[in-house]
Amino acid sequence: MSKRKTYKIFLSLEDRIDADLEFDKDPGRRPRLARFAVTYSARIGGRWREVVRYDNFHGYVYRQRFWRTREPEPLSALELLPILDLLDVCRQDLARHWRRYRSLMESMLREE
Amino acid sequence: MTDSEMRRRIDTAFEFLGRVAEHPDRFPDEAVLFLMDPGEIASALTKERLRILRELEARAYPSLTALAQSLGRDVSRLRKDVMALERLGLVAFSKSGNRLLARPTATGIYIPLFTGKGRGTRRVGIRPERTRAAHRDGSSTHRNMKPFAHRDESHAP
Repeated sequence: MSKRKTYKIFLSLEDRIDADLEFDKDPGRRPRLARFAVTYSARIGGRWREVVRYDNFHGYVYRQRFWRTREPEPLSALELLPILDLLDVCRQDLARHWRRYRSLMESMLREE
Repeated sequence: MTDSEMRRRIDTAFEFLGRVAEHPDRFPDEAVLFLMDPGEIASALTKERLRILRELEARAYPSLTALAQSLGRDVSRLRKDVMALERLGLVAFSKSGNRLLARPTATGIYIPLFTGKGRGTRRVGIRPERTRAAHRDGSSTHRNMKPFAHRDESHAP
């Protein structure tokens, strides 16, 4: 089994989640999810655009809201959550707000 | 698509990731997943498009014309199918002179048979988020914190 797993998940022909998962493998123990990056992208104007990303690959948890800036926005209040709970927080954020996020990205692109 | 259907698909996507996290050895290292309904999947992945993917996986073609000839298909129709596969991230293009080369980007397509409400779906009660301090001392959650603090969104950087 590789240390890294990569999935492209189509929610529709216009909405997609890209997930990178990285596992730590200690000898004699089950591999443990250590890092992830989950990006929601939308097809807008004939191109796939990253809309929002949740990521802990760089040693801290952050979110990027691409209609605002590419700068990571640290989510320090979530740092101590177990990683699967952290993933679930990301799921809830995306499930609640995906339409608004997408619409904000569309507006930003219209203004460009 | 309705909001609730999209939420269900997002739940399913994260449920899949949760399952991978728990049993990584049971899942491929990379895959393209389709969480759409059967009709959408069938219209995106037609028999001819699957033939194209198989053929591209089997060998490299110097052009789309050569690929069309090998499959006994009209070039312009084949091109439309290859473009559709590119939109799905299943094919990537590179150029060689005037020729467009297509290569497959995924080794497998995965269609989960479970949905987001099924067993194994993780539900963390995050309505009030625990602060770092609350985590440290095990006290109750902060009443007014949300998982992600949302200000009024503006498009200004």
